Amino acid sequence: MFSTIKIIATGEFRSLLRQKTFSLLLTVFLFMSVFSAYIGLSTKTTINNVYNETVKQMVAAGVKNIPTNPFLNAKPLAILNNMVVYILVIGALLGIVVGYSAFIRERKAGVFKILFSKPISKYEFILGKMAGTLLTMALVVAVSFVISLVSTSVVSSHILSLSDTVRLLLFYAFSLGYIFVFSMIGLFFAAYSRSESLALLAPVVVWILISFAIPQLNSAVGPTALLNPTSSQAKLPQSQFFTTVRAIVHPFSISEDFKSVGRSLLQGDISSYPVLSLLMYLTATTGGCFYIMKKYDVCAPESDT
Amino acid sequence: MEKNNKAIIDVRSVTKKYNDVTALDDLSLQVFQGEIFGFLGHNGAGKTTTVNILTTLLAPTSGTASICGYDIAKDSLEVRKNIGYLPENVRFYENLTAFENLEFFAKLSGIKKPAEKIKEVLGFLDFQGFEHKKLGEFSKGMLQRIGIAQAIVDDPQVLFLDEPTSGLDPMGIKNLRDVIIRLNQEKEMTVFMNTHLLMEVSKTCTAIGVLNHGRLIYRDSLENTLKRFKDEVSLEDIYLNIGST
Amino acid sequence: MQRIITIAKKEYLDAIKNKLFLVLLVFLLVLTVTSLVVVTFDFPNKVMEYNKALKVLQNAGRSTAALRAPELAPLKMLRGVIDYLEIIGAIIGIILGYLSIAKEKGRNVLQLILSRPVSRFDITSGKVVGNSLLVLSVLAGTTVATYLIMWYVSGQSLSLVEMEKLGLVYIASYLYIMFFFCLTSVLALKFKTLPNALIVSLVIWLAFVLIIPQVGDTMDPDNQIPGGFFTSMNLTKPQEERVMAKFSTYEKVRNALEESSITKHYERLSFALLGIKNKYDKKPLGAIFKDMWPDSVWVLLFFSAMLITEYIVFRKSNFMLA
Repeated sequence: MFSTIKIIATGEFRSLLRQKTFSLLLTVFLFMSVFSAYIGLSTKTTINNVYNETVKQMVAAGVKNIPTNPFLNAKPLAILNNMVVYILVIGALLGIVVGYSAFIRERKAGVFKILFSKPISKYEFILGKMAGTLLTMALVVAVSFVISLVSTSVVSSHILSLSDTVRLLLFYAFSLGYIFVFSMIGLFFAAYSRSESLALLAPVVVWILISFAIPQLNSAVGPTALLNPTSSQAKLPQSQFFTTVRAIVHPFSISEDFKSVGRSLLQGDISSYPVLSLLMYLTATTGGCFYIMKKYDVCAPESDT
Repeated sequence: MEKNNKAIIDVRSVTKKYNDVTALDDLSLQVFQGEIFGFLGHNGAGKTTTVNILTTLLAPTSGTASICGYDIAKDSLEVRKNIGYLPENVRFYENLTAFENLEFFAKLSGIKKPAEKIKEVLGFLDFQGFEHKKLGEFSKGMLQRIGIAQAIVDDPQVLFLDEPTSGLDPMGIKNLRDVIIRLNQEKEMTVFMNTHLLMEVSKTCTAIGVLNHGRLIYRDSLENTLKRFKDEVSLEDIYLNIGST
Repeated sequence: MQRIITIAKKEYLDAIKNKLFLVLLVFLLVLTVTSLVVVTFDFPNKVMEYNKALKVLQNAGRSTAALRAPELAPLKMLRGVIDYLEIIGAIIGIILGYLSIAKEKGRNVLQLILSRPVSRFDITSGKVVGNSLLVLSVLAGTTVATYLIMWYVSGQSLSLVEMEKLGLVYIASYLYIMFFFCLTSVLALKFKTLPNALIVSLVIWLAFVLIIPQVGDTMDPDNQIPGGFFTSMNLTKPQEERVMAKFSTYEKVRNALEESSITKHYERLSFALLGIKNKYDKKPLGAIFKDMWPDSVWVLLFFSAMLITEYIVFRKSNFMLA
């Protein structure tokens, strides 16, 4: 069984690396990893200058009680704040495309009948696909981790401390889990839908639901606020309706939980590590993939679009 | 090749229904070891459904079948260790080379040294020199050779071919015919072939079966068939005669 | 003209029979209604916070001029609706654009159509007209639904000026969504593999709709602290502007980045027209357009450029799949 899984996983990994669309998304993702550090540095420098200018003008106006610089004690990893948003957005889309491609490739190649006329089971096949997808995403995340490690060290002019390195590693480990959830959603819909376009768009719709609709119901966060790494949660409207709705949607609010974990690890201004929703989504999505594979009819005809 | 009396494919009262549509209706059929069996029938007769059931891809609604003595339902893994299958219109992984495609399928078949085996198979098919080209660059005929290669790489006892000549030019069809006959004679492979091309059946097959709306209406060796219908000019006329009765 | 109408009618009917489009439509309506409900239920919170802030300033003997009392103004309630149109409206445009080409290219039906006495101009026009009618219907439905909810919640109906503003936002939304329609159609025509066209459309969507605006917002000094940096420093708006005047280059770069995205222009225009941006609240149309005309032009330009590109690409394509 393990040899079959290994064959499928390595085949998957090799195929993905050769795909142009994957290369495009990977380039965008890695570029944003570099860009995130640059934006962080540029913004940090400007903000400190804005504070200094503000203080200058306040002193000139005779203001006595001048607040302290809120950015003075910012952690070195804080310049990577935007990575939280890029994982939420680009990372999720990358995951969807990887998961989708993992299944669609066999459909387009028309090889399912050949595959399952060989002595392999559907269970082995889907496990191999999951392993291959995870391996690919782990490589992407590892490269991004190295980029972030190097860029923060360069920006702060010294090598990151061990504790900060561990925090960064934990952040990327959590990111891998988050992206993998969307890979599984992509894989699920690629198996579920006979139409290629529906198979790709449905996970995007699910992503919108998870990333925007659920946070709005959970904590009244608007769509644009979710994309700001420093936004705090809005105060939830005080009503029985919202309290009930929140109780229902809260366990599903993985994107807000990811933001909290990201902020805790990178910015360090809060200490909140809600991992339950991630575990729940990982279980549900991988379970869903097993289920859909079991039901998949290898002989059914394809749709043309 | 001389026919062995042992039924290597044994189908007993197989029925397949999709909601209200009966694709196969109480099909009973035997194919003997060493035969090249041509399975004929109109479009939608149920030929592909039959092959999908025998290759364990589809479960019958009722009835049983066995390949090489293994039940398709209870021993599907053993069945698949003994068959090779080339479906219709396979495109393979276009961004992988021919070798990489074959290596992948060979490994899934449990072959320990796939490189050696692939070399041997491509040599048999007289198709060396193209291993390291991507399949996206291959013509239909070349793809079909790769398709046959993956189907025979683990030396199956039974080879299933679904419309193997579909889209091939006359030279491609001739090449395929030669390959099938050599596989049967040199490697003692039993071949089960769905096809429309009656000319090819007359040149390649040793036995034929005719399916009509899910029912087997005729089955005999090609030799006996030609003797029985000696007044007909061609196999096409025989087929049309059988179909009309 | 008859051929254009025939094609337009088919486009319209094909889209409304498409499950994915219908799911997205329902999704859009549900989310926009949800955002309105959230705003409504959140209003008492905002009043409470305002009263608290007022009391603090009054107790400290400071001016309360900078504080604005919250109001349940109907048009301002549409902020969430605009946010969702930016995100989901664009996806609807992408789906329509993709399906418009894929359903024929995928089955090699386009060659059948072109073998008839139909010009490529007619085909393109039919597709654009049919899908335009569809987008306008979707927006009309969304507008009516949100108007009814606004009227029910706030107890106020819209004045004539407010209706004009809403109408202009409606037009801007149409241009915005159709930009994505045309973009995806062009990509579906150019790419040999259709799903790759969809993936590239989604990457562009990601960049325009989410990443570029987000980078712009992140670079805004005021967004660095929850609640606003300048508010935490107790600065008024004029004081904030005096500080930022020293960082004009930085602001220019940030602004230039934001200007590269049609989404940002659409958002600025809509927020100004709806009075969501306080500066333009209750201002007449003339005053709004005095500042907002560049954003209007940008939205129109983005749309026009993509529409013209679609005509050109369709005229030159050979529609062969890989």
